[in-house]
Amino acid sequence: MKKQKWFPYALVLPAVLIVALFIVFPIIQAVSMSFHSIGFTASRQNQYVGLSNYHNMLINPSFRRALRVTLTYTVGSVLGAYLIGLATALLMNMRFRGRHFARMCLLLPWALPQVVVAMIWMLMYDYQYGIVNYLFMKFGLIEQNVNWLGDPSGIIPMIAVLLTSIWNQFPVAMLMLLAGLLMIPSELYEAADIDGAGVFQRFRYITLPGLRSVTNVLILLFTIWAFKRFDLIYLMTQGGPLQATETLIVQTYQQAFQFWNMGYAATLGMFSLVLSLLFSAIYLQVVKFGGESML
Amino acid sequence: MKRIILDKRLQSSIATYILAIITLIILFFPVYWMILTSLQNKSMTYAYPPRLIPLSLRFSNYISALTGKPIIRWLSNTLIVSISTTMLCVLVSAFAAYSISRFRYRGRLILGMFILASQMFPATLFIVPYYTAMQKIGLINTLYGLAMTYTSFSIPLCVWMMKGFFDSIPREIEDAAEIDGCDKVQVLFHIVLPVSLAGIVATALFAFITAWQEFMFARTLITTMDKWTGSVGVASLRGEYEAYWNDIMAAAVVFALPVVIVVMSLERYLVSGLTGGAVKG
Repeated sequence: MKKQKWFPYALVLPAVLIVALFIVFPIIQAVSMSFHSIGFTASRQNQYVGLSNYHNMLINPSFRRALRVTLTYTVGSVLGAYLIGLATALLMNMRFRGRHFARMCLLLPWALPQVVVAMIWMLMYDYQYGIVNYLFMKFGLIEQNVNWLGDPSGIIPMIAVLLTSIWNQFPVAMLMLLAGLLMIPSELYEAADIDGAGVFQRFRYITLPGLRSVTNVLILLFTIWAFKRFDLIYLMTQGGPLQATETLIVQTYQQAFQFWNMGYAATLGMFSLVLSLLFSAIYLQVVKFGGESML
Repeated sequence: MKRIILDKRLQSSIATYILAIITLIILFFPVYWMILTSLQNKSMTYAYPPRLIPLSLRFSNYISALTGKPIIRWLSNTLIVSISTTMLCVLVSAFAAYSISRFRYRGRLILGMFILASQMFPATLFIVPYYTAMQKIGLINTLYGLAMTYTSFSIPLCVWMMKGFFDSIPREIEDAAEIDGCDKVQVLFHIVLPVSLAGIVATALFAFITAWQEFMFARTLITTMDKWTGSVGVASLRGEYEAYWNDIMAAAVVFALPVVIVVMSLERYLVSGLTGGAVKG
């Protein structure tokens, strides 16, 4: 029994190898690229430029704009998906016939491929023929057709992208919060009933605290995912109009494959990496102080 | 007394029903719209005011979409990539997660933390080195190169999920098996894996879903149309000036259907997967 000391190492070796080759090695390459200006023609080879990519990034107003856009998008989509997820979870927690069927239907927005989600919403957001404009006008929410994905103000497209993201993401929140709700002991609710607590009091003093650890995991997960999100935003607006929806990730891609500034793109990538690591570290610390550890 | 309680219950259940139906209608509407558009002709889609309830339906969009574009080819490419990714990822992740969960050895904690941290790396960080590296070693524009890429990205999340599952399996089962004379390899294959089947399914589900719908790397690393995956194919249907929405929606439905079916039938594994096995069912 004791002689198979190599066993645990052998088990973990394939994963380590793959991760080392496909994750660690490219990161090292990206670090190196961020210190160069990458050329693709014979006349313009790779040049070592030291920290100038980083310097250019920090003084670039496009970069700072991307930071603001990323913040807006992340906060908006995480909060929105969480709240809708919470509302639907509370609803699905009640007993009614067809509950399982309803839950499956509400799962669909997440089950659909992101490309499909983007296509559907681009159709719905169409300026002239889109159903969103039609319905919103009918319900009196807007006065005239809105150019959801192209309005120069930039605010409308951001809202449009947020709505789509929230629609796509909320089922995950719903499922996890539903599971969390089921874990709250019913004795607590019974005791509350005996004490004469109202609906809002029950929610505030039993439900919300009971969901705290699930909420913590959810917020962290959603924030990381929102920060990394590319497909939906790029497909719907390509970061436009006029970079209004260009998050850090989208900008990195544009710099790499539209402007072919590979070195600068690598720099942006480095920044994103540091940012996400920092956020996770801070968040984990904050959560630990909050009481329950979640992993 | 009884009558009041009965009325209250009835009221709240009717209210619940209405609320559920309204919520369902609002949140399900885009899916309904997609299916509806795929079954209509152009004049109805561009009609104003648009009809919410259709007058007539037709399937010819599906025919023209399937014959006009190589959708079947795209689907088979996607299937190859997704299944390869899932199998490789589950295998590698299960072994690694078991190792991290069950054994104590040097570097275990750092390994675990690193695997967790690599989940957070933005994909755009990798796209540039991947593109140049894959070109050099000749894996660019190959489905298996893409599958390897997806596997490497899915491993962190899969290891994290599987570790949660393994943690929740009591060690007594394994100890009992070892007392009965099984060595560690036998314990892993004959005892632990069957018991953690739910975890394996959940992990496989996530790997599959991620691979099926991935867009950015598929678009960048695949350079010829014949190797396009479904994501890239469907995205390409929307030209810069024209969009044949009926055909696009038909293609979208065809592309979405397999993964939707998989998710719906394995839906109960989703929650336990997301919470790492801590929550059953």
